[in-house]
Amino acid sequence: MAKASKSDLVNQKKDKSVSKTSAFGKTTTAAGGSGVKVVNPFDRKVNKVKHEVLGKKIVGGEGNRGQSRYNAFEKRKKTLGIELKLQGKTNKFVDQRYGESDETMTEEERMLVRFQKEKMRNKNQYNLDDDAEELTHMGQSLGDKLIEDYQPDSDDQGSDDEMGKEFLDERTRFGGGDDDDENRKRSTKDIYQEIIEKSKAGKAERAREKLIKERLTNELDADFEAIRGELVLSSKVQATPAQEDDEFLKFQAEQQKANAVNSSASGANGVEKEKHDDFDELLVSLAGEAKARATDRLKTADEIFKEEKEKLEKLEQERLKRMKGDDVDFDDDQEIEPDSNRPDRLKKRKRENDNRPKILSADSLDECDEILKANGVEPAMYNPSLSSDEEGDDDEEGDEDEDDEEEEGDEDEDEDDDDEDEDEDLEDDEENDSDESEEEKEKVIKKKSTTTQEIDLEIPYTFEIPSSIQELNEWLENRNNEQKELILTRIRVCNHVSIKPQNKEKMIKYLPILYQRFIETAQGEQTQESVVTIDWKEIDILNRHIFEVSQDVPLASGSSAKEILDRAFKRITKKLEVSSKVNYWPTVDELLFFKLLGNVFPTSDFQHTVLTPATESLNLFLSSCPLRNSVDIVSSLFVSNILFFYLSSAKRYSPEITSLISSLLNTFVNHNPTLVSQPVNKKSKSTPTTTTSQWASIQSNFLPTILLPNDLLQIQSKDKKSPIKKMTPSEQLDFSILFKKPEDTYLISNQFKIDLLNYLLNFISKYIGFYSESEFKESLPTVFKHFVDILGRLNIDNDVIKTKVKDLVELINAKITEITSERVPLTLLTNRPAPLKQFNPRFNQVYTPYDKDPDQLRAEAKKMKGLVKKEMRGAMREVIKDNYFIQSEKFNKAQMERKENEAATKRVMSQLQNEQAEYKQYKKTKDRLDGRI
Amino acid sequence: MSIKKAAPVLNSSKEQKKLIIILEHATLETVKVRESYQLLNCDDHADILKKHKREASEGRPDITHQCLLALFDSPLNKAGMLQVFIRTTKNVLIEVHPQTRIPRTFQRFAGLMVQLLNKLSIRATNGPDKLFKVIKNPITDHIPPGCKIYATSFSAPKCVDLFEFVPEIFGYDCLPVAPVTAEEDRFSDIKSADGAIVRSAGEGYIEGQDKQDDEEEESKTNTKKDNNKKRKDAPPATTAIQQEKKKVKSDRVDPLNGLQTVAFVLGAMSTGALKIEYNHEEIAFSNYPLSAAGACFKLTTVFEKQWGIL
Repeated sequence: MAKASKSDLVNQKKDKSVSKTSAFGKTTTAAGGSGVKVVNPFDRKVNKVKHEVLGKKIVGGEGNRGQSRYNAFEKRKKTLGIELKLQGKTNKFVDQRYGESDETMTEEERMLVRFQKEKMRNKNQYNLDDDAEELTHMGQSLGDKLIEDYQPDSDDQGSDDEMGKEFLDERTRFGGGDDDDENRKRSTKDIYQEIIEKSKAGKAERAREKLIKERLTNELDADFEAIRGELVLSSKVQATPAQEDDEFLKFQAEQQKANAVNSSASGANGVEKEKHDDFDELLVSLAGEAKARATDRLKTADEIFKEEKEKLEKLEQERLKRMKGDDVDFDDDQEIEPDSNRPDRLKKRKRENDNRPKILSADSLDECDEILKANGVEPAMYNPSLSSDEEGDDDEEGDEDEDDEEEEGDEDEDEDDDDEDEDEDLEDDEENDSDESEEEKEKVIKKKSTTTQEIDLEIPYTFEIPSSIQELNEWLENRNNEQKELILTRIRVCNHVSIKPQNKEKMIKYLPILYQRFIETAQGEQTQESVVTIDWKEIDILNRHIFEVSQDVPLASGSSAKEILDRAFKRITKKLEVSSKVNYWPTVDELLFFKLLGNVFPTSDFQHTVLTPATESLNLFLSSCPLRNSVDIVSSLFVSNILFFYLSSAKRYSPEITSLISSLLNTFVNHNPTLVSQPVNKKSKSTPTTTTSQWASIQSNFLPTILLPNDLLQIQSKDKKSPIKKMTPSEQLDFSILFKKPEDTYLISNQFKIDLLNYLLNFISKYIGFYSESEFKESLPTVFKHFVDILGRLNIDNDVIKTKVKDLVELINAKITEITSERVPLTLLTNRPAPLKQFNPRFNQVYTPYDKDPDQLRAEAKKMKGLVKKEMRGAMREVIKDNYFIQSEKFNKAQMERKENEAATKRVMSQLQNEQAEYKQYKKTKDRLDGRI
Repeated sequence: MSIKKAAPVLNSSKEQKKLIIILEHATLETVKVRESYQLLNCDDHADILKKHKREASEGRPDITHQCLLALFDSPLNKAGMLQVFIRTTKNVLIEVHPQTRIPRTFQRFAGLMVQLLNKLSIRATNGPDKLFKVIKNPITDHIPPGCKIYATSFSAPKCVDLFEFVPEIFGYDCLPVAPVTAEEDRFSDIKSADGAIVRSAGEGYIEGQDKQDDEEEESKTNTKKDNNKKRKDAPPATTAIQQEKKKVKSDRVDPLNGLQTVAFVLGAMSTGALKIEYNHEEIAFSNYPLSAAGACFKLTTVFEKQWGIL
């Protein structure tokens, strides 16, 4: 049913589009074109697209299944069906009737064509007249028509012919062809002639230009001469122009005549040479004249200042860098081989700087000894490597030093300091002795001066470097300070580094001698039994000189200073080790030497070969040297002052100083108990109460090294002569106290104690001022809070001290409030919620639906494989369909045959039956007629 | 509705705080230009749109891109409290993993989307998870059951202030909210100065309120009792005023069905209104038409405030 309907539809369409040849083509166009296409919905095939993509062509999205099946069937009928029909047949029926295969023709047309053909064939067959075959075109005889029609058109007559004619004409007219030959035959002689002519003309041109140039230079010369106004122009020069013209004309004429060129050219050269002589002379004379050279412009005052300022700024920047401990190029301007012990360490550190933490942990072993060695000495506590010999030496040294000290201790008060003079008036009867001694001293000085005046020999202008300290001492002996300075200056000037490079060596040798001299001077001269004078002026001079020399040879200065430092440090640490009962504190010369170091070397450096050990040793002294008497107190204060001086430039902090001043102040408080607690203390001095007070004192930062006897610093008010209340403390402590014995009357007096206290208070206020500006000021409130307590407990009945204490307390409180107000409250560290980890999506920037194989061959192979597979599948499908077709055809055919057979047998059988029936009828009738029935 | 289908991130407990944002009508569509596939874009493919008689507003994937950037850069997302779905005009539903880092440039985003629409999923470069997944419609299969869905539209009849609306649907007055930290318990005992309990946003306000509404209507006293019972573990020191407050609050119908999750539908298109059926309520939260990205930003900001994410 369906099939029939389909074929009907197709037939309808067929009628609509007759022009198309194949059935397949017809149907497709019909499907695409007409909107009113009715397709059985059961036959419709739709491939649904899930995600529509614009611009993507979809093949086989929709289709009519029945239609396509029909198409395929029809196609097979024409191909496979025919083949099938012809299968097993050797000859074939070919239909060659006209128009039979052409479907566009109707039956009538076909008949017409056939008729025409038949007619023509017949005509030709029997036309005997025309033997010669006639050529025809489009059914018309070529012979008659074409020749008649032919007209030569204008296009065919090309211009070539005309050209050719002209060409021919020319040729014929002149009968030429000879011209070319002649050209070729031109002789080489002629060619050379031409070349020669050309070159001659060129030469003449060049000569002319030369002459013109010459004339121009001459004119210039003339002008120049006129400007100069000194030299008269020679007649020769003036005459030149005319001459030139003549020459030139002549030259030209010669050229025209084509004479020999050489001679004339040489002539011209000769003239030139003559002319040049004059110019050369002038040139030489001018060249000989002195020329002014460009010099640097004089700098204005502003610029000079600016340069100076820049230089200073640069230096300051470097200093700050060193202060922070950054690596500065130490050897930038020093040609000497670097210090023996420093560079290795430094290099090592430089090398390891990157990956090593700057602050060393306490556990790091390898760095430990380095730290200790940084002081330049072995650690004091344990040194088994020290050989016995060395020890002996050290002991001897120590002994000597002790001796010195004892001597110093014996020596009496020295009144060299200027400041002391002011205080003298205020001091009481105790000072009578000192007055006397002063008088004596003055006498001595007078004597000395007279002697020096006598000796005043003329000082030589040039000095060599002293080979030893003795030599220097000889030179400086019995000279006054001016002369000493002069000598030292001359030594320095005569052997200055900048004069000769060898002088550097000399200076390196000279510097230790200067140091030695300084120390000797600082040790002072024992002018009398008990008086030690220190030549302060010489110390000043030496200080300056050492500084200046050190600038020239910094490394040598460092190493020699370090040697001395080593010695002092070893001496004191040795003493601390054996815990001797003599003075531990540095001697006067050592103290002055420390002061010198601070002057000579930059104290603000973060790390310095000399000053770092010096600072460390000062700290050590402050923390571990025991305080036993007033002299110790004074020297400790001096040490802390020097240390303060070291630290103040870089604004560093030393806990040693703090603890020292705190405990000293505490001692004052303990030794001068308040009025309330006084009776208790008085009643039981040696009872357990003292222990409690000791406990109290320990609690308030008592240095363990303070071993002062009780009441050493007690200010007694018993002395009626000098009431404590009215006592005016001196502004500064006298340096000479260091030479005194602890039993000295001044040191026992109330005045000293008041002075000491006053000094201490001054120092504290200074220290606080500095501390509050340093970067460690955050800790100030905590450190100085108890100072307020101690000061509150300080009970000294002195007006000056009281006001000072009051001021100091106010200062401390102000600083504390200032610093605490800047503090930011601690905030609780809340852990932030961890954000989700984010992932990047993995995608290609440009999406391609197929994964491209980078290997071209493989990709190609894969593609081909796919194609083959596809084709194979298609082919198999076709084969299956073909088989179906064949089977159905065969079946149909068999069906037909059977039907035919059946029909035939039926026919035969009916015929036979008819015959039989007729026969029977006949027989029946015959029988009836015969009367047998 | 099968739980299996739901996204694993949303399977967790009721107390899971989550804002679900559905970007509706996202115009994500691929187009084949010669050999390459591109994301349909009104700038680059104007001629193609014209050829197929489409409007320029149908090629605006940049809106989606901006929205995603705004959403995924928000602290809310960083805290893991945001879930984003995209539904395109072609009815493709995309789930975006919260840990996705959205490509910053539009070009890259376009490449990503093309690949997603072709391959239906995108994996991470450094992780096994699928960052983008094309999932099966309808969207309601992927949001937790009972989750309230609000459609947002400028043309909605009701315009709300989000800063009031959001606490309200969560059952609070506008809150002083303490910041979220790792430990949840920290805020359980925080009390305001006047003695009122300051609730952290983490706590559900009405516990056990997921009962049927009609039940409540049956006997208010009953529910009160219930609530009182349930609040036994609450600190007993309460003033009368507080009790009053609580009563008032407990009468309220919980719009979120006891969940801490709420879904908002935003239109990621340039013109037109949302055409969806699955929403429960339609609201507007500005009197001015907002851009989609702007709306995203506003919404995340409000929820950050609500949940105390700084």
